[in-house]
Amino acid sequence: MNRGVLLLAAALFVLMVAAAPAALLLGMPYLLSLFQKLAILAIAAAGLNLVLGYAGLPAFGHGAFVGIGSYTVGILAAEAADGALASAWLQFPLAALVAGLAAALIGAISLRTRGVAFLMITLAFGQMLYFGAVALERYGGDDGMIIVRASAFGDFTLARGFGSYVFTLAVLAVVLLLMYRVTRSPFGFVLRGAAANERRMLAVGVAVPSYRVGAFALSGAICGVAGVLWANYTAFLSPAPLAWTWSVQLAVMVLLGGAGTLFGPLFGAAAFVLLEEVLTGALQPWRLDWHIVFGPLLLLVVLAAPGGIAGLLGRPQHG
Amino acid sequence: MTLFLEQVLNGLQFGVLLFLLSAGLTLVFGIMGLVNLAHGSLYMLGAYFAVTFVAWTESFLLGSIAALLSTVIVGILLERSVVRGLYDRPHLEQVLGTFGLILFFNELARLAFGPAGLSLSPPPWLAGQINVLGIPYPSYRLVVLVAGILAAAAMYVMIARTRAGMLLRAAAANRGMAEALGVNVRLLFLAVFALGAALSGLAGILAAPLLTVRVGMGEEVLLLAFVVVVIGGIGSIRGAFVAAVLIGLIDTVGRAYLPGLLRAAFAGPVADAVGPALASMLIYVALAVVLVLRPRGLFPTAARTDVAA
Amino acid sequence: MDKAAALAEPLLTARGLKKSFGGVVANASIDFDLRPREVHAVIGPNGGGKTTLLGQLMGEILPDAGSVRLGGIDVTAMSVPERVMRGLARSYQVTSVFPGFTVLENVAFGLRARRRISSRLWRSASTGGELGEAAAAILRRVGLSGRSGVDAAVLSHGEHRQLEIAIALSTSPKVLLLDEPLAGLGVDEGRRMVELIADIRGPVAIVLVEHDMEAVFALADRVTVLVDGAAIASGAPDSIRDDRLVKAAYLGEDA
Repeated sequence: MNRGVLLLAAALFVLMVAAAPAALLLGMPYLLSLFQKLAILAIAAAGLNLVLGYAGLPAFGHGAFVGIGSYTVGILAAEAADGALASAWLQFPLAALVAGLAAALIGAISLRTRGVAFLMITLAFGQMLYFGAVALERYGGDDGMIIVRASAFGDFTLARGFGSYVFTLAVLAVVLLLMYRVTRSPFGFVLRGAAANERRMLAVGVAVPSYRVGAFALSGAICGVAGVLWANYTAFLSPAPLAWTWSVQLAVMVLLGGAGTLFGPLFGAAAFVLLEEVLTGALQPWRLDWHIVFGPLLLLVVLAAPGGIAGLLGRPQHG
Repeated sequence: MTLFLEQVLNGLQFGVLLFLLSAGLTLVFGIMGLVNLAHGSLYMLGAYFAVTFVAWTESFLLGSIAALLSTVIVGILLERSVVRGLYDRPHLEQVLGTFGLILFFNELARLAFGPAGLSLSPPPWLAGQINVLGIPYPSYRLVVLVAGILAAAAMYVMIARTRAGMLLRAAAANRGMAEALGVNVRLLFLAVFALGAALSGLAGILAAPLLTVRVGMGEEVLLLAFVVVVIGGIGSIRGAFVAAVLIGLIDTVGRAYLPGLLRAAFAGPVADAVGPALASMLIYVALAVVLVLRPRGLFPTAARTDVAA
Repeated sequence: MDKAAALAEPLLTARGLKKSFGGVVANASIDFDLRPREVHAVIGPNGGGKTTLLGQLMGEILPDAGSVRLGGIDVTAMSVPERVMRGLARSYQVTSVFPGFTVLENVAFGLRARRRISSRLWRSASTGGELGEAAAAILRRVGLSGRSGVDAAVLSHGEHRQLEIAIALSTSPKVLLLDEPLAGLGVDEGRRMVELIADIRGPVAIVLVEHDMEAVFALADRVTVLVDGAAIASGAPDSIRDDRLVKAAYLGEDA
């Protein structure tokens, strides 16, 4: 990893940590809200990065696993009005487990195909789960519903606020540490090596498909955790994260930041969230949507800087 | 029975629209290896142009022709300016870049045509109903069905019988071979992209009187068109036609009858809720089933898909 | 097991292997075997079905009919990795390494797979300790010692061919399938490659697909000639050299 990448990552972390007391002192809760959104999206994008970046598989249905995490919170909150099921001790493992299993199953089926067909079948599974969520009338169906009770570790609530913000940053740090270890482990080397040369990886005795299913499960579980945070952040249960445009946006963050790099997802999520904020404000006088600038910017990134932000800061290195 | 026949006709009509959309997509996939998410934007533009130009010219036919030409011009400009740079990129980057195009075109459309949905009436001479096999059916829908089939037939003749079609097939199977045959590949790619834009625009124009023309209409059908392309086999026009009709029928008939069937089986509010969603899921279930059984689609081609290990 | 018994039971046996690609017959019912310690060369004109045969032995290409036995066990239905774990390895005609990884890492993949530690999730993929020593030994053997820290993508063609062999050796094979190891090599490089193969042979039985006749006759204990997907001759190198059919079908074209 080179210095530019480390410096930018460190700067972002300092900014996000410093935002907590600053927001409290200056009375700017909005700042916390913005950075919390950034952190949650970075966690989901980091999960997706394992499959999309390191394993090189064009998966475009990961919004569904974020959705599974959100629905875990929403359903448990709705089913026990007294909050008996709102324990975060229960919800995080459950969400990670269900999302991980769903991802393993979807991965195992999708990996029968490759290339564009793989891209499409992952999108299709995402859409299936989306319509499945829409069918859950009991939990708001298409319109969604308010989540009446936030997840909590005992007295520590994850409802939007200072505590929840700090907790989200901690989760992001843990997820990035996990990614650091996993992508440099033998398992991670297999994923990256198989992306470089699948046939040869098989020919040295590695059962590549099993490793990829494993990567799907892990990345789905991380997205499930992000979903729990997202549900608490929005305090609203909605099928929106399962829609295919959400999945594509997650992938856009990964690619924009730098696919297959540790901090790429963080950079991508930051670029996405901060650009939305800045551009929306700047374009307000002309009643223009930020997408009119962001769209061409994405094109520019692809044509001029295919390595994303991390790539711009320096050549990525293996090992 | 009458209702069923009407649903089948609707399904076929939806199917041919899907084919018009998918044909360009599958050619661009198969020949240039491009995953073009912005294909749906051309469909949206076709519809917006139709609304605009029909109002200006006060003639449905003239307005439609102007709309078609305009969409093709946009397609050509798009290919020349940015799309060309995406051909040799990995699929992931193509998705990123063309997703950027979607965002751009959506905002452009919102700016140019306003945020509210627009509607277009079919021409007066097609406003009525016509008798098909003993049931009354809207004339305009029938015209859409016939126009779609004619376009499919024209494509078939063009690809199977003409020299241009031969070059196209050669390029789809093996780009190097096409170059060896002396084909100007840059020009061929431009022509293929323009053809795709024309078909997509035509679909938008034909669909405009059947729905509300609005920002975001492109993404909805885009996904269906991708499903069609993959089920049919990437790069296969014949596959796209079969799959489009299949998906059109499954979707339309499924939406019409699945909720009723569910109600009959599981009476009660559960069936009411699950029915429509399950019907929406049907085509994606179909896609997953086809890909699991035939990973390369119904009509696999020699087109450039990633090499299997 | 005494030596005679070992000779009686081939390490690798193929019976009635058939493969067509869209009507083109690549292998038409091929019988093939490889005895312990043997170098069995497969020669024949391009398009004769040599690479298809290797692919079927390795499990990368599923045969339309026929069976493959490895070490006395039917492996026809086994995946490539399962066969590798039973002692089969191969090299590729067109260099197939892991670009973006160091030469040392290229060899470490197979070493880890063999030691069944590829699936470790948390521990770092170190190339130190016993694994590093084993990797260094292999690189020394193929003559790439000085290049272990270099990205495999930037190696020269000759070095790529050496790495190709090193990766194949990393899984400690009992049976090695070599697909034109001399392809594209100069005279000196080719001679060194022949020496390398001579060094490997013995404990490792080798199926050698090669166009360079000098190398084939220097190394092979037995030669099989594939023409149009069929084995038209098989036997000791001298008998093949003198076989009129072979001369007509193959050697004659070269001579």
